Formats: sequence, structure tokens, C-alpha cells
Amino acid sequence: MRRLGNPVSWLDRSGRVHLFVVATGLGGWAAGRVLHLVQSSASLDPEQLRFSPVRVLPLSWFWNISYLVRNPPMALSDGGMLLPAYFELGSKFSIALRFDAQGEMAEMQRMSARHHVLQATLLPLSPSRWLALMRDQRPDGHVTAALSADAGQRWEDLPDLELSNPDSALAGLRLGPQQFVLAHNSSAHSRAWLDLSYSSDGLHWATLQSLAHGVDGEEYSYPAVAWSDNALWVSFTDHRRGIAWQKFAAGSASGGSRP
Amino acid sequence: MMTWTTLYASFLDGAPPALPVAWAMRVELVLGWALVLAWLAALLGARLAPRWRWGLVLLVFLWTCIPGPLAPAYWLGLAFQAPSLSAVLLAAWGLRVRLWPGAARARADASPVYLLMLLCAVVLGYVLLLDTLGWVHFSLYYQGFAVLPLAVALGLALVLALWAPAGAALRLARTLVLVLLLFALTRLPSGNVWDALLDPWLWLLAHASALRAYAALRAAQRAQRSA
Repeated sequence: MRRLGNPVSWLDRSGRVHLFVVATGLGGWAAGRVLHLVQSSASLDPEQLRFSPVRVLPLSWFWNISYLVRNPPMALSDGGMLLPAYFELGSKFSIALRFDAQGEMAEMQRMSARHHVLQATLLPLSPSRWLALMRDQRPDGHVTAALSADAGQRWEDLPDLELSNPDSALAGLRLGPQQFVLAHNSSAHSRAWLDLSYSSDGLHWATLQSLAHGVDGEEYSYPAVAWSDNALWVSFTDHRRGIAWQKFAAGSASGGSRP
Repeated sequence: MMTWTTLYASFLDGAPPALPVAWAMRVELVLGWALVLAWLAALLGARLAPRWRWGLVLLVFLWTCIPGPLAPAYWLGLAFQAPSLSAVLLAAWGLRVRLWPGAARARADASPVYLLMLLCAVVLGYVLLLDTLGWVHFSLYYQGFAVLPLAVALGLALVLALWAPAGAALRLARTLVLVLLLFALTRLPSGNVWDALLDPWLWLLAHASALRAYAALRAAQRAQRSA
């Protein structure tokens, strides 16, 4: 492997950390593959944490190239998880990979019949109704959506959301019943504005907080969101040179940093 | 009560895919490429004296098996992962033909069955390529983890092995049976039956072989008419 990127981590039922990373070999980023690694050290201490490779995920006949991961998995009630992945060589489409509680790949489902959507972020509306919000590669694109009403057995495309999407990544999180947040670039043609929006159904969103508002040419992109220590943490790339972060504790912004 | 539909579904995608273990994948990748490259070396060294040809083949085989980035298997694995079981067995058979004088030489048989088998490989590759690019909506590749495609392919290969005329068609049918039995035992190279049957390089070779078989068939037909 020449480069590793886009790490996505997951803790299985027995407490082992799994890592899914994009591994690029000959051919660069668009020819990347998804490499599955599992914790090999006994300790979770970051200083001692070690991983060993399991396999390149078998996702296509054509040498598995151009399948990538970016957004975190959605935990399932059986102890397993649903990992969103996507294909991006020419045609762009999102798939869902189901893993069992031991971290073995159990199923692969295409989430959208469209050829311009990628990097799905998964929101559980209920135990069996799951929503995927996706980046739109079209000019004048909008956040695209697909819904599964039967716990991932089938997915159907929904009409585009009202949110503009300038071919940029988004990150969503369920905070509680009917409480969802989404970090996304909100202007139609640039990545200069990054906002945090709120929704009760995953389909209709209202801006909650501005994360970064730059001028044309500036870029605040590739957000990630996580809930930890009773706070919402948002990170994003700052002009592709560093990683900025902001912390929202119980209702209001309480801190942040830019490199 | 289980209906035909649910029975079909249970064969198709009922169980999680059985994937091969990491060390077996590693061994297949290295040995597979070593055999394929050794066969290519035997082809290139066809005009050499037997002793030199053997030496070249052994050198390439051992060089490919060296661990680390000095070996071709490292770079080929990085770019193309492991070769299909079909490619490995066909390369092994090709090596036998090239290294042991008197073994049956591969000829483009004027057999419609042989041509049909090659055309099936070519068409399968196109469908899998379209599936990769997302233009096929039934996800053919993923079905390759299930039992049904393996059972159907093995059944067809067995029928061909019993029915095909002697020559290239019969050899190919027997190779396919062996490939599918090896896959059923080991799940190599990836747990997916399509990866065991056909890889993209072998698919490209199937195009050339199909053209060659078609030309041989036409030549045989012309000779028959003029006789």
C-alpha cells in the first residue's frame, strides 16, 4: 500500500477496535480499496494500540478498485453495524455493508440507483427505518436521500432535500429520538460556508449554527460529528491544511480551535 | 412453508459470505503470480534450449516468491490483487506443456463448444464490469458469494466435462471443474466464485482466444466445403 486514508473505526461486541481505511496502491486515490484491520494488541491505550490487516474487502470483480469509505458506521441492535461505502470511478454510487457482531462482512446492498451520489451518512429514524443522506456530484446539486423501511433489506431513492450541496461531504448524527444534526456546506457553488443544521425527521432541516463562513476561494469541508462527554464535537478541514474543531455542550457552543 | 422463491433466496443470499483466511489468501497471491509469471517466462523462452528454459522458469518462480517489494508478486498484488484460480491452473497446465516435451500442445480447436465456452467467459466479464460500474441493478458480483451460482457453475462444468468433444473444450471443462472444486474447498481467492473463475487479465485473454477459436472454426468450415 502506498497511502492510507479516510479511517473509519468501530468497536465490536467483544470490545475490539476495527479500522476500515482507504488504501491506495498503483493508480492513486480513485483506485483506492477498502482495507479492513482489526485490533491485535490487548490494550486500548493509544500508545500500545496495534492493528493487523484482515483483508481488502471484496466489493467488486474489477480488482475492488475505487471503493472507498468516509463516514462512520451505524450501530445495529444485533451488535453488528452498517458501514456506508461508495464507488467513485466515473459513475458514483453508495453502498451499505452490513457486518455482524464479530466484524465479519455479512451483506452488501446498493443504497441508491442514481449515479451521482456518494459518501452516505446514515441516520436511524427508528429501529427499522434508516435514512441515508448523500453528497451530490451534479452541478447545482442538493443533498440526496435514500430510505430503507425494512432495516436495510431494500433502499429507495427519495426526492432531493432542499439543502444545496456543492459536491461536498456531509456528516449527520442522531442525538436522540427525532433529533438529528447535520454538518454540511450550505452554499450552492463553494465550500466557503459550513453550517450545522437541525431536523426532527431527517428530511427538513433548519440552520442551527454557523461553523465557518469564509469568502469565495476559502474552504471549510469534510466535516465529522461525534457525541462524547455530553457534548457534540464537530471537526472539519480548514483550507485542506489543518483540522479545526468545535465543541457544543448542552445547547450552546463552548469551545473550538483552528490550526 | 418454504416456497420456491424463499428457497431460491436462501441459496442466493441467505448466509453471510464465507471468506478465506488471510494467510491462505497471501499464499495464493504469491504462488498464483509465481505460476503465471513462470508460464510467461516459459512462453518467452520457448526458443531456448530446455536446460536454459527450465533455469529461466525456476528463476522467475523463485524471484516472485521472495517476500517484500523486491518481488513482482508484491507489486502485482498491489495493483491486481490475486489471480483467479482459473488463471493459476491454466498457467500450471501451460507450464507443463512448455516444459515437458510430448505433452499435448494447446491448439485453437475448431470446436463450436470451445468457442461457446470462451464467448460465455467474455460475456460474463462484460456483465461483471457493468456491475462494477453500477450499471447492473441486480448486483451480480455479490451473488457470487452465495451457494447457487457455485452449484450452477459446477453443474454446467460437469456436464461439459462429460459431453464436450476431446480437445481444448474438454481440457477447459475439466479445468473449470477443478477450479470450482478448489474454490468450494478453500474459498480462494476472495470468497466470491466470479473471482475464482475469471479475473480481468484472463478475461482479456479470453477475447483473443475466442477470436483465435473463431478463426480456426471458420477455416475448418471452409476446408470442409472445399473438400
